[in-house]
This record gives sequence, structure tokens and C-alpha cells, in this order.
Amino acid sequence: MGRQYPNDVRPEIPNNLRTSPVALRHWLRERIDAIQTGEAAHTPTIATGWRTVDKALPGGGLRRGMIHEWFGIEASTPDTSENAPSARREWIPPLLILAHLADRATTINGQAERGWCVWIGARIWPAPHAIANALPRTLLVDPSTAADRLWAIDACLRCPGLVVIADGSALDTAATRRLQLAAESAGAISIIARPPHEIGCLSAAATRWRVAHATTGHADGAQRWKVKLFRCKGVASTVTHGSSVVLERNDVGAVVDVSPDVGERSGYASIAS
Amino acid sequence: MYLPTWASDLATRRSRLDRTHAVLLSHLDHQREAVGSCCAVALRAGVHPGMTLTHARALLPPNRTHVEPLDVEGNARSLRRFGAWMIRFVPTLAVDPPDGLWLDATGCERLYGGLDRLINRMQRAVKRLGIATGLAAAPTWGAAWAIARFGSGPAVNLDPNVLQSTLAPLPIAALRIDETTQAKLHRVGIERIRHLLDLPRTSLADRYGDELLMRLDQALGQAVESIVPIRPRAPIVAERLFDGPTDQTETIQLVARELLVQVAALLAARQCGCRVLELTLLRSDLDPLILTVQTARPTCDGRHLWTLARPKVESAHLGFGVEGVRAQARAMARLSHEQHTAWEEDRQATPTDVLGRLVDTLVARLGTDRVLRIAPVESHRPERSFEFERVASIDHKPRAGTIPAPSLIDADRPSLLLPRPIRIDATFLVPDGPIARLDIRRDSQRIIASIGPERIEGEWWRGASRARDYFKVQTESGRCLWVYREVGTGRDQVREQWFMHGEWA
Repeated sequence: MGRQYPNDVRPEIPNNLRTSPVALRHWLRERIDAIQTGEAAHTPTIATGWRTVDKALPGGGLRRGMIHEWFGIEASTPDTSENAPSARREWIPPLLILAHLADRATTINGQAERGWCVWIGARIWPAPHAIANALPRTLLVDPSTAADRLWAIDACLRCPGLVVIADGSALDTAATRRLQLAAESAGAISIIARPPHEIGCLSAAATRWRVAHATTGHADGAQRWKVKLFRCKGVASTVTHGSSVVLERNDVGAVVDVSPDVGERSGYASIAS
Repeated sequence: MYLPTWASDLATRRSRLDRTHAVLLSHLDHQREAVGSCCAVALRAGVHPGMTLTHARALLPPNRTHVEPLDVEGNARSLRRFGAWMIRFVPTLAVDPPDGLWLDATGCERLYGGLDRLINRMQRAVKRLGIATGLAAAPTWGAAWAIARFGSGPAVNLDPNVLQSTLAPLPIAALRIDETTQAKLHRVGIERIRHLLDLPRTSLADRYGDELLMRLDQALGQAVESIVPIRPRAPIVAERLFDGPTDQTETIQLVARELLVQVAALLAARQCGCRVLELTLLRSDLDPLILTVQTARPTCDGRHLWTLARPKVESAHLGFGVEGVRAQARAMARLSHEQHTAWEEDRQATPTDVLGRLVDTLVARLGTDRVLRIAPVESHRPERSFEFERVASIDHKPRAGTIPAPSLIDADRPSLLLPRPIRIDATFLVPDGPIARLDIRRDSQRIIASIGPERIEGEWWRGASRARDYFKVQTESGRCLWVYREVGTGRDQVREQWFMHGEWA
């Protein structure tokens, strides 16, 4: 039956998967990943701490050795017809979310010491108040040109153990591919903030996220975002489509998951929907 | 050599003050700020070490007084460096902190044509540096110490027989004894060394301990005293001269690279790492060109040094040709010892090493102003509560106090702070009511929630700056903005002024 595999490396499909096509697809995907990248498929992941997000991601979090793109929020630009040139459109990077991810990635480094974090591009430098606890291990880099920026991200990604957060505006597909290769080489994690109008650009990123403001209709002054995973390597687009996660900045400044299907938070269910 | 105002002389040199400025160095003494050391100008005005800082300030003209904290360790380090500089006069010397040097001039006086001339020369040279000195030469260390501090003028007295008579009129403090012994001696009326010499030795030892007798004997040359001379280490230099001037870039690069590897080997032998490296191109018709390379962590890796120096060498102006190349490690630091392993491939660079290299590479390509860290500053004003600083070394924490800094975490602050606040217009439905609308750069936003005001006072000591009333507002589209009103506007026909300062992005 069929061709013979050399040395009999033909994979044995576990019996319990034969009945479920979804589980089988997942299992095959993992096999292919393992073959493609060798051991790298078992690279550790970084749990985001947002339950709904972690559940949706294969491996339970953002993978190391990959780049992850977060598309920012368009600042409302009036009168785009006349004065504002479309090339210089205003956007706001989701800084609190980035700071949260940086914090998660540096603390769960598996080491007693916290890891270093590099923020590349003055446009996405957060106010020091947002990263006050991580200041001794934070570097801020501001390359003057886009070419220098790409070079700087590449150089930082080749440094093991770093968390790189970078301004990814005006990166083309080749550039994202280059960064992805750099990230793979050292197992660094890279979180790239990109302007929302570049959402149509192709990219080699492992995950791509869209962030938007969420309105509640309640005048309670709480900041909420709707975060949507619209592309994730290894997960069919039908799975990611349609669902979005609501995040909220709580009273102590932490960003928490308040999606309706998160269990233990009774008071928020009616607000976040 | 006695340096009576060493600490304040250093402060004067460091701050480039002129000689008419009074310098006070303060330290905390029993919870009060006291004068730890002061300069000659202050001494003349009646200030003495130990008085409170406020008292001293009252005695001096306020606009010509410089006050800074006393840095005992830093001064001791400077004293060592000063000692190393003095080796040009005598080969053997030791430091005597906090304010003295021992110089062993045995045999040196012949080179200078006499001890007087040697002392004169040293005094002139040190005076030119702006440092006050008291020099004395004597056959014993103890006597030299005593005469330099309590004698009159630069005494030169080498005859051991008259030593006793020279020392006799000096106060007992000249014997290097502690203050309690001095006080005990004063209580029984012993003020001068002469009085001590008249007393029987046995009773002195019984009453005041062995140290007094030892110091006395050391001063008179009856007991041995030795010094621990400082030995400056030879600088780490590698140099190569060409037969004639060359303008071939390949040759110069090859030689520079080889020299860096040599320097790295010298550093490795001393278990030191280089922090600042100077690569000098000796040009035939122009001044030597000095290319400086700085590293964020001490390194003795020749290849890494070359990656940093290479762009500088490539873009160097060679003039009419280069006659030689010299590489010198200007600043060094100890390297942590590395355990050798049997299998070379087991050895891996530590994360901090890699990070240090990364910082160097970034700085070399982007420039020092573009790789920064944040240092917290004590200030209520959000835009002044931090400063960017260059990354000099990744081993040190950013300058200034505690992390996390209270000025950064003690209040709810936005994650995006505009470099300078932008003017906006605010609309109210009722006077002094909640904000209804904000116009930001021709973009009108309806406000659905506003929390505030939080008043942040202006820092009047920095000049005129108004207090601000901050509001956290939420727009209809879900943005959370941080806006403020300048307090004091909105009255007396002055239009109310509103600004947007940040956003919880």
C-alpha cells in the first residue's frame, strides 16, 4: 500500500485521532512544524496572562523565536481630504498592551534574573511611568532612518534572551522574513507594533493582532480594548475569525482579560460584550 | 608631603572655580549637615571643619560659595592617582590617606642638584595644579609627617642628631596619636613633644599605652617604620611604525586589527577588560588622529574591538599618509574569572556579555545619543520625573536613587506622554461643569466621562510655572486622554487654557 518510507519513519497516527479531523489536523501540523524547524517547534511559549488569548494560541502563548505583530489604533484624522498626506497618517501604538507583554516575557525567562527589554523606535517608547518597574533593564533605541531601524531590530533579535519591542512601520514582506529568520536564530521574542493602515501588507509574522478601542456605553472612565487575532501560524483562519477578546486596564494599572467567557469575574459580564 | 586642603582643591579643580571662590564640603554628622572640609578662603573667613553648614554659609558671600558633599572614597582614589603622577619626581612613594603622601627621596636629590631644589621643583609643579602643599624632608617618616604639618616652612633637615631638638617644640598631635590619648595628655598639661621627652619612658607606657612610645620612637628613628609603595602598572600599548608613510587603507586596517588583537592578548594576561580604547594614526603631515572606542562592558575580545573600531578606521582622514599606528587601552576594568573547560564548545558567552556587545554595536552605528536609558528624577511634574541618559555601562543601574522610583509609580499616569503638551479647546455645557467636548487639532471629541481634577503644583523654584488641574477623560470612541487646565487662567478676561498631555494608549 503506497510507497515505502526509508527506515520506516512513517508516522504512526494515534488511534484516538482518527475519528476527529480537527484533532488530527492539529497533530499533523505539529509534526510538520517539528520536521521543518527541528527542535524549534518545541520552543517555549510566553503565556500572555489573558486566558481567552492563551486558549486560542497553539502552545498556550506567544512562541519564542517568532515575531508577533500588533496593529495599533488609528488616531482619528479629520480633513484627510486636503491637508493631511496619507503617507503620514497618525496612529497610536497599543503601549499598555506592549508593556504588559514585555513584562510577561521578561519575568518568565526561566531565570532568577529578569531579562532585558529593548524598545526600538522613539515612536513606540512608552512613558517611563508605564514601565517603572523594568527601568533598570530597559534600553531605548531610536534609529534615525527606517533602514537603521530594520538593522537595529535584526541585531537585537540575534542577541539571545532579549525581548525586542519595535516600531514596525513601513516594513515590507522581505523585511519581516529577515526579522523572522533573525528571531529563529537566537530564540528571541519580538513584538512589533505596526500602524493600522499597513494591515493589508503581507508578513512572515507568526501571529498578527488588531487592537481597537472598545466602548462600553458606560461612563466609568475605564480603558478597554478589543483585541483580535486575525492570523496565527498553524491555526486555520476560520478558527480565529469572528472572535475578539476584550481587555481592560484595571485600577492598579494592569491589563486584564474581561471577555465574557472568562470565568471568575462576575461583575464585568454585563459590561464587556 | 602634606596636602592641607586636598578635598577642596579637588573640588575647585573639578568645578573649574577661580581662587576667590570659597569651597565647602559637607557631610552628615549626627543628623546635621556639617562642614567636613573647606578651602583656604573659607578658613580665612572663619570657617573651620566641624561647624554646621548653615553657620559656615552665613560667614561667606553666598554668590561666591560652592558647596558639595564630601566624597571620602573618591578623594582617596584621586590621591592614588596623584601619587602615580608624582612618580616623575621620586620612584618610591606611598599614599597616606586622607591628605598626605610619603615620598622616598633617597638618592634622588643628586639628580636635581640638592634636596632643596627637588623640593622647590615639586612645590612649583604641584602649585601649578592648584593644590596646596606642605613639604618636609626628614630622616624618618614620622618626623617628616610632623614637620610637614606642624613645622614652619619646607624644612630640610637631614641630620639625625638635631632631629630631637627640631621635634621638641612641636605639639603632641604631630606624633600621629589618636585623639583620646591627646586629650589625656592635654589634661595633665603635656602640650609639646618636649614635655614627653622629659618624662621616664616606663611610666608613659603604663599610662598611655604602647602606641605613644612607638610613634615617638618612629619619629626619632629608634623604631623601624616601612611604607607600602604604590606601583603603577605599565600602560597597555601596542604600536607599529611603517617604513614610510602609507595611504593604503588595507595595510592600515590589517595593522590596526593586528594591534587590537595584541592589546586584547595583553589585557587577557592581566585578566582585565578594556572600557576605552584609543587607536592613534600617526599621520605624516597632520596631527595624530585619535579614534576612541568605548565599550559598555569590559572586554578583552580583539574581534569585538575591531568591529567597533573598523567603521572609524574606514572613514578616517589619512592625510598624506600614515607613518604608524598605536593602540592603547585607556580605561580598564577587571574581568570576572572564567573557568576553563575541557571541551571548548561547552564555553558560551554569558547573556550580559552578549548584551554588552550588542549595546556597543548599536552605539557604534547609531551614535551615543540614540541608545538610551531612563533615570528617574524626583519631581511631581510628570514630564520632569525622568531623564534620558546615555548607556555608559550596562553593569550599573541608572543614576539616581531607588527603583522603582516613587516619582514614577505613586500615581496613575498615562502610558503615552507627549513631548510637549498640545493646545486644545474645551467646551462646557454649564460653567464649571464637566467637560462636554474637546477639540484636538480640529478633531472634535465628545467626552463621556471625566475624572479629576488632580492638581499638580508648578515648581516655582525653577522659575514661573503655573499649577495644573489634570483630568482623565474618556472620549466617545473609547480613548482615554489626560488633559489639563492651567490654574489661574479663565479669570480676569484671560481665556482658559487647556492642554492635552498624554493618553492611556
